[in-house]
Amino acid sequence: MNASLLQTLLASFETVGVSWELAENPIAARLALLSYLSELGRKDIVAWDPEALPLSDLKSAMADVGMRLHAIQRGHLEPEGMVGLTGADAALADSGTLVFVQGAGRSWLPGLLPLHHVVLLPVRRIFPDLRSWYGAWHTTRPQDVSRALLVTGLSVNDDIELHAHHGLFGPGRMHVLVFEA
Amino acid sequence: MTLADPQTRFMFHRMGSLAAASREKAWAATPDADALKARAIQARDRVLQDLPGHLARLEQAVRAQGITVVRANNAQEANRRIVSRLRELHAADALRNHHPLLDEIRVDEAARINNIRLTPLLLGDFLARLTDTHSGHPVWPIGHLTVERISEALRQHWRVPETYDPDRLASLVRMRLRRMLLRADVAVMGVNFAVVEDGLFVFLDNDGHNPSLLSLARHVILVLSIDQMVADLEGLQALMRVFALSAWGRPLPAYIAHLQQAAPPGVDGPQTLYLIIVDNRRSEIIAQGFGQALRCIHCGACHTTCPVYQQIGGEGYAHSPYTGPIGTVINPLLLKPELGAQQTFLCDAAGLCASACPLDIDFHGLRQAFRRRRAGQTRAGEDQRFIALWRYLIHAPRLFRPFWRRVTRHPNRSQPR
Ligand code: SF4
Repeated sequence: MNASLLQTLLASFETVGVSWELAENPIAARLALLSYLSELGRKDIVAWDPEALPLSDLKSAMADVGMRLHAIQRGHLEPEGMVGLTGADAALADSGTLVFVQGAGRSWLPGLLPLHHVVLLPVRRIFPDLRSWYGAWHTTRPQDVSRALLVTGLSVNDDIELHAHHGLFGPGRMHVLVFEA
Repeated sequence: MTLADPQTRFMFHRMGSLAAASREKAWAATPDADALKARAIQARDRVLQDLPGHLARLEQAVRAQGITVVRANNAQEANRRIVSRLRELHAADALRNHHPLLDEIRVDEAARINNIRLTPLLLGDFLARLTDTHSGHPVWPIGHLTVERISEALRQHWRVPETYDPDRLASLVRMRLRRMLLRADVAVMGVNFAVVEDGLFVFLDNDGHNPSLLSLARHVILVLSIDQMVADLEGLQALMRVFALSAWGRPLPAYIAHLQQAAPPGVDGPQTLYLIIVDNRRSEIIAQGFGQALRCIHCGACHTTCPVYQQIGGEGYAHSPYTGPIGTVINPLLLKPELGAQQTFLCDAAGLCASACPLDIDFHGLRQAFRRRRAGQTRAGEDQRFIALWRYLIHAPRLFRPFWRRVTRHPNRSQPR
């Protein structure tokens, strides 16, 4: 892992108002996640399908501490007060951008509808910048580029007197758990 | 509320200076600024110099993805297509995103006449409609409104308690918009850029209204203006960065959503996509040698430097969504000749727009070329007298408004073709 790439990414997260935490391995990451969610006092989490999350056994680990993972279902969409939990398919170090590829069990919605989004990011998925990510994926994973959402920072709208209001159609708070996998 | 109202004029100036400050700061922090602008210009010119070729390739790529593609020569045809598709989908209600092309073709009006409620999801557009006023700025539709004015409108329409807290006001509107979003079935969405080599559609915003619509609406009608294509991802990157820097003063938009085809079963996203490619005189503009005007990506940077726009606001531009310096070069080409010609005079030659435009549009040269072409069609001296009067009036908003009403009284004059 390129340490300077990681440092650049973490600095970019701070610039765009995203908090982060580093974990040395998946076990430490799981513990860090559970403790972060417990501190928030949230039991109901809307998330990607557990199989699609980059940490294994999360569902049972969460059940052990009384937390529940929910899928987002049309017609039952009131997850505003919940926390959204997803993985990220890539991260761009120079801008602090996170990439989310829509697919079965991997909706964009857990990262849009709740006011608070927690993201799991394996370190190996970090790219230097937009150009390197497009360059790498356009040749190897064009289907994924075509369903990718790139998110840089929090949802912000400044239509009213150019005052920055966070959390309009996306989260007003984001936390990224970066871990060695 | 008029521009003679000092508070509204103050708000236009405030919007201009805040936007210019954040834009300048962001560009100053961009190490490859000049190279980036050059790449963006190259990307725009590459498409504009061979519009038919790019269009044919895009159509082929998009059809191969199973998307229905239709072309519309003008605004009426585009609206007819949109309304008939909405009817096919039995949509009495639909949502739309923020996009200048949708304003240009006046799709809201077309939907309303056909008893379809088309609601803009961007907070600023929604409040612009509620308050029946628009700043004319492509990025901040209500940048000229104070919190007091917004609060008053919400109190009148929704009977909510008065508040001057912008966060509280945004939350009040957000609750309504969100409720509509969660019920969204059909969306009409202007496309920011279409990437020709991949048949890929790209949507940019900072609040997430585009990806939310793309996730929740089951049917999406895509509306693309023929000039908003980009050949490849290389050009796309340059244009997205330039747009974010000049429009919002940030290195990248908060949300960049990519879409290529309808969602497969079990995946969120639209089940059907229907693409309308709109010309609305753009081919003619290029053929007449004014193609450089179409480099515009509607970032609004030129507006915030323009002393005339800050004096007269969006009202002086013949009800066109294109206002400010770019309005003075696009409107003469888009509007009916007698109305468009007046637009070239909405300038006091400050020249600040040219340095603000990241795509290096030669506003002055384009206006001169248009006037030269028109000179042959008008009586000698007519334009010069008009320029003198115009220059006087744009600095006298109290006189400007009645004057403008008078010259635009003809019922057909304010209609874009
Ligand atoms: S003319 Fe240039 S500065 Fe003005 S909106 Fe268009 S791209 Fe931006």
